Amino acid sequence: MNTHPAREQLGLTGAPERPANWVRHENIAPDWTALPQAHLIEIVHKGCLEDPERPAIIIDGGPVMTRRELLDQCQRFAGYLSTRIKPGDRVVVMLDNRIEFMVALFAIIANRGTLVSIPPTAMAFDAGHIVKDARPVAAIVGAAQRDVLDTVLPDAPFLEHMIVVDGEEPNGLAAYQDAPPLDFGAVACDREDIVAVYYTSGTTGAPKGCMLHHGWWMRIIDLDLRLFRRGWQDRQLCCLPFYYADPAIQLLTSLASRGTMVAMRRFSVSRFWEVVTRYDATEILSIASIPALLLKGVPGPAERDHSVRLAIHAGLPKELHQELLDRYGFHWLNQYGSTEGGMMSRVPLHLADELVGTGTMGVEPPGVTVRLVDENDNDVPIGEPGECLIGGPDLYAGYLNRPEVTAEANRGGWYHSGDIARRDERGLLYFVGRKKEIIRRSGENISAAEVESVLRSHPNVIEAAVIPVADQLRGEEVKAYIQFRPGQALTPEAVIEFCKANLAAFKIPRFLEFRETDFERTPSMRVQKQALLKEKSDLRQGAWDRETGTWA
Amino acid sequence: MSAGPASLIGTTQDSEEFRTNSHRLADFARAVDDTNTWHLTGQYAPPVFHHIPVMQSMMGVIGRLTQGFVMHGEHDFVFARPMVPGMRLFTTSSLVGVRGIKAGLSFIIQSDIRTQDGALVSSQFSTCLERGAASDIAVGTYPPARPKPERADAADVHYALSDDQTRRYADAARDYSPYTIDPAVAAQHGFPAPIVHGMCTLAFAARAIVDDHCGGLTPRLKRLGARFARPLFLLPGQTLTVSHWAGPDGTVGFEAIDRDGNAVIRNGYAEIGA
Repeated sequence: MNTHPAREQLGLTGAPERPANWVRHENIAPDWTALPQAHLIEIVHKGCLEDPERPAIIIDGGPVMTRRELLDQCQRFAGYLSTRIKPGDRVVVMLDNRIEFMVALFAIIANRGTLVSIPPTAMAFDAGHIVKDARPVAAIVGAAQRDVLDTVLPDAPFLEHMIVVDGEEPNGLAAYQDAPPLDFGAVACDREDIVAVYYTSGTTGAPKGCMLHHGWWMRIIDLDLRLFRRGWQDRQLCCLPFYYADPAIQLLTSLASRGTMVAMRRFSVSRFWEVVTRYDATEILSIASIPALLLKGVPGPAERDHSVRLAIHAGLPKELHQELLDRYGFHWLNQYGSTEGGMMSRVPLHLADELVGTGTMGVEPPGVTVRLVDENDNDVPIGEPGECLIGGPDLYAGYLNRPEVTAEANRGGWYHSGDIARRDERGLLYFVGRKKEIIRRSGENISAAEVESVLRSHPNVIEAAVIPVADQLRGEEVKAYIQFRPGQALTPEAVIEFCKANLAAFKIPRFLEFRETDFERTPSMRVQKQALLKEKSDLRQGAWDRETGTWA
Repeated sequence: MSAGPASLIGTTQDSEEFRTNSHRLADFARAVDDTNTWHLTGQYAPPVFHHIPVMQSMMGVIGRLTQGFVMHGEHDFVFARPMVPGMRLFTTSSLVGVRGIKAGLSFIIQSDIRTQDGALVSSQFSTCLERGAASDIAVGTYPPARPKPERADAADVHYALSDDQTRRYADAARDYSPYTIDPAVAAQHGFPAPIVHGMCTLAFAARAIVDDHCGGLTPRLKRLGARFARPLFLLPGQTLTVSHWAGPDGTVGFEAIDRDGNAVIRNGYAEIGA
């Protein structure tokens, strides 16, 4: 029913020569030395059979599942699905962090179906949008999510099978086993099969379904294992929701390197070091405000008495970098990635010491090219900010049902990320901001991300969010929302003093608004700026104005 | 072995960085029912824990020598400094010798653990046997000799193994060889029950050596080695009885037998420092 268009190979033309003096990742094994090459199910199958008694997943506060048990569960459920879905069919998965999520993912892939990921917290409106767009034939949900999907069903006659994960983990799919198991050793997926669709929220417009084929996954897994070697003693800690691609990547890299994934139900500052030490995590994947939240946690001995040897984080605040290293004793490697572009850059391991606190997100991994361009897609000079265009052999396979949006994003044969970055003379990339989150004040471009990063670096601040406020005189003004640690609120004047010491004068917020409670967040734990923009018709209301020194 | 064993001498494999912490050291101690407070609080690694960081690189070397089934025949630790929490360890394993024996070939692999500053923590020599035709090949070096202190006034210590001993050890060591856990796989190899990891057996023996000959202080242990004479099978009610005796100049001899009196450890040898 669903045929996917031939995937575009991006970045084949127009890339400027990479200067010889630019930094690169060193001591990296050649392509495809970390993995079997056919498809993801081969990684699962081989990884489970070569070391069957080793745990594949340990869930904090839940079960331990060996590779033998994982393969067994996957093959059983895949057998059930094989009598209900056919290649190209889409299957919604809407589950909390529990093992059945991964069982469902691999069972869908083995049937050459496509997982459509919906956050388990999504309500009827958002879930309905995705269901109507993706037209899944089946849904695998928890009891709570079933109630949400039931309200969508009248508009979704194509959705034939509602599979409810019920009962004690990891046996929540035990009721769905009425067919012989599907032998994962005999599965023949095509490398171009679409494995999963992730809806990217985007700051404007309805969410778009980003399609990812086997090659996207294999490339990122192979790169990740080559950039950081792992072994039998390694346990990657996952504190992200399973409905992202990242946890599945962590599980697959673990399966391919005889490691184990330790997963939390959800990120928690108070449980974090307890989980790290109890399960002996050796590596952390971190996003959004996790580093800042950890640093604001109460110090304890477990922070130094652990075996973690690396954290990888996308968008690491440079102001916190040295403190993270000093306090926890391992490197935090800044990385730049996205659903569409996969891994686009990372700080090279051999330069980790030198680059602490510089804010760089490193350079492209082998096989990936990032170009920085102006409004006309012309390459900008070194040091100048430009939009990141991404080229590489295994980028995303396009947006589902959006050929025109895909063509626009891929114009000229390069994926347009919407991110602004600059390079230094060694080729190191620095994030400047989201193209759509650049505030234009009196002809100056101000990155919301930069102002937020400075505000968050204040010890009393838990979270900060910066948005533009329309202004007749200057076009746009900067408004900052700040949440302080309990009992540690600052005066507006103190906030401005802090900004003066850390920001160019034109970037200092004019409006400040203080919040008692956490912000509404996107599924990726980022502050939901759309919600802030829509909160009130006059964004100056309730805010302190630096020009008048008064609250409106 | 088509290229000839001599050409394989020097085959080397390194390991990922390994960081120690007190929880992991204590977990290992609990997995062998250790009662030594230094071990249970994770202040010192039990001596056999030195095997954990080297295991993968040692097996990596073997994997480049043969695809056949290899038994761990002998193991010798030479300790240079105690392993404590907070260390960053790097390991290299190399094939240093090949010996023909009546039952096939024995490979001698030396594994060195160093800190990030290059200081030696310990050297280990694993002698691994691959069954095959008798051979008289002899290249490279031997492990350090294990003298046999004359047996006198041996003390016996008796350990009862729990039914889940191999799973507990596997979790603590991250060594999940299926024939140590899955009875069906053990049967395929012709074993009556899963085999207790050789290093687990040695870790039980090491408890007696540390507690009775080092005054409980692991850092005094300078050498520990033994021959695994016969697999210890995880049969119901299995036991391990370790006999140990002091020899001259801080040397210790030990042996161990299973529930039925079969010798599982022979020519056990330790050296104790001040």
